[in-house]
Amino acid sequence: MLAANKIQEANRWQVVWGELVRSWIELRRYWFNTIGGLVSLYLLFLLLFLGTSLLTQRMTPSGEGSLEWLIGGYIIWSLAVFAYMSPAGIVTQGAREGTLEQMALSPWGLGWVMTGILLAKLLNDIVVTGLLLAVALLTSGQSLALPWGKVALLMVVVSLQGYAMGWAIAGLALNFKRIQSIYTLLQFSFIAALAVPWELQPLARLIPLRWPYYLMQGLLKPETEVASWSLEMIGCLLLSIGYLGLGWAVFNRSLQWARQMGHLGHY
Amino acid sequence: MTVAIQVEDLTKIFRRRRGSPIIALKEIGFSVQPGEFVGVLGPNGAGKTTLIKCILGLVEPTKGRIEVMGFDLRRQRREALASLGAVLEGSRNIFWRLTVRENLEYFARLHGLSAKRVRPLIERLIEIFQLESHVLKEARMLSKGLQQRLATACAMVKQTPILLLDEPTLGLDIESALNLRASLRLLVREEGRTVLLTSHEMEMVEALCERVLILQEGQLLVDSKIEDLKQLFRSSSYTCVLRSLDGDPTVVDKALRNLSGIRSLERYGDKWQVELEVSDPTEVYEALECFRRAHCSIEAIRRQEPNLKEAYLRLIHSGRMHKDASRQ
Repeated sequence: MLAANKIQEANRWQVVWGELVRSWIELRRYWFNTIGGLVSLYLLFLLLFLGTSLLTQRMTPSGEGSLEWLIGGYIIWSLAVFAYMSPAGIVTQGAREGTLEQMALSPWGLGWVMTGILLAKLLNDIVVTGLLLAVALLTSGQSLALPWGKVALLMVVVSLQGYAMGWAIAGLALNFKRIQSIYTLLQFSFIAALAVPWELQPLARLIPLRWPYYLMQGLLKPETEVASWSLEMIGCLLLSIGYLGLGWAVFNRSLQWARQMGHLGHY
Repeated sequence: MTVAIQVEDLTKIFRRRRGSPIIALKEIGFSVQPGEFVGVLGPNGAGKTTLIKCILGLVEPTKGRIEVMGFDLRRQRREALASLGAVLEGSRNIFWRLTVRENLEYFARLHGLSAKRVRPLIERLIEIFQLESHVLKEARMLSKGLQQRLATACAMVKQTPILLLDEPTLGLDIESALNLRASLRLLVREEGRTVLLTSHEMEMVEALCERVLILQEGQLLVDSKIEDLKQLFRSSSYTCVLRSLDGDPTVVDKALRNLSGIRSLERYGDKWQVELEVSDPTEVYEALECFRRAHCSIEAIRRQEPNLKEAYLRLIHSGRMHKDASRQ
């Protein structure tokens, strides 16, 4: 008899492993595209490093802190954009390629399969970004004096807030499929969110990305004073977890709606 | 023994912002026993795909209950889905940038199974679906027939006891469709999987299935064994080939047109092919007498062997007639 209860020997982490393997295969198979991506990222880093050092040396005699601020800001912004765009990207790609329904047939559900893809992507991005940063630092002869532990914590918080919005937008993508214009538009609204004056309390704290941005300023710009960084960090982390839960709930409600309307397979 | 699929009072209504709601399925009920190969037939828009997607949990029913291997799909979704594999109509079902073997490994993992543990099965599926010479090719490089065979193999690598196939031969050439059919038959017979298959290809359904569900406008019109269906319409149709003896076709035409029970009449030179439907065997003798009076010799007379296509068409036709009558 066939394995009616294969679920007992099945392991949910195999789904994640499967996604890691698939992502690695595709990176290797489409090496030209992978290398092209790496080269353009490297050039972007170089431009940032060299351009900023030149500018800051001209503008201020010391140029102190500006380079770190820019690079730190860039890492956090790109991480937020990545976290925000990935879930919706997975949904639209799956719908376009016709594999979305097959992913939804996994016993652990579409959400878990997408988490697997996201983990694979995140791991890949961290490795690539880290390597490029190291190579860029070596070739430019520069160094970054960043408090890496705190930056890592900030990256976690930013990712959580990015994913929170990403899952909610993925829910929209499940039902409307082609929503690229909306999520590109929202991506630019991040800049507006960062520009909200911190004095507008408590609204400023609640606006996505604004709180982590304030904390980052506290870390990287000596003139910005954060009263209690650790306490603020804990508050920000809790808010981010709340947002993630909200985003996940929106995604699951949208998935339910897509099932009710029969939207999962349409593109 | 646990029933493989149990569907009770299944109704699906798609509500639309504008216009009246669409009733895709209406109070459907049936069960499928383990090891059964059941065909789901019906005209376009009858609700076949919606039924399959409801069983797979991809479409949520408005009303009703579905159990898979004894697990309630709504409350025990994970356990129910663990027993289901599917090839869906119109979808690509596979990852185009992965090779044949990589796809098989990926789908095993998607179901939580280690690719290492299912390797012997993968080798066997490659052999059964005749994919040996394509193992290292990316799926996008395969022909449509091969892609469909790979999609079916991917559904099978999950080792689920139930397989749902939604029009698996749609768009395939005859040879590819036959190959797929042969592979399916082999696997199902050897492994005793339960299969629910939707198709417009009557020959395929007749060759593979023991039982059919016929849907029409979202309702279950028939749930019957194929043999029983064929027996129901047995011995009522005859095909006769006639030749005019006196060379006057108008006499023959006139006589035949007055004969009751003629379903089709075609003339080829001095020959006629007549399809006759009789409700009583004595009507056959009346027809023979009519042919004699029209000065025709009977070159051939053949009782039509009952087939699923004929039975299906009649049922659908009578279903429509019944609906129209009740509307009036």
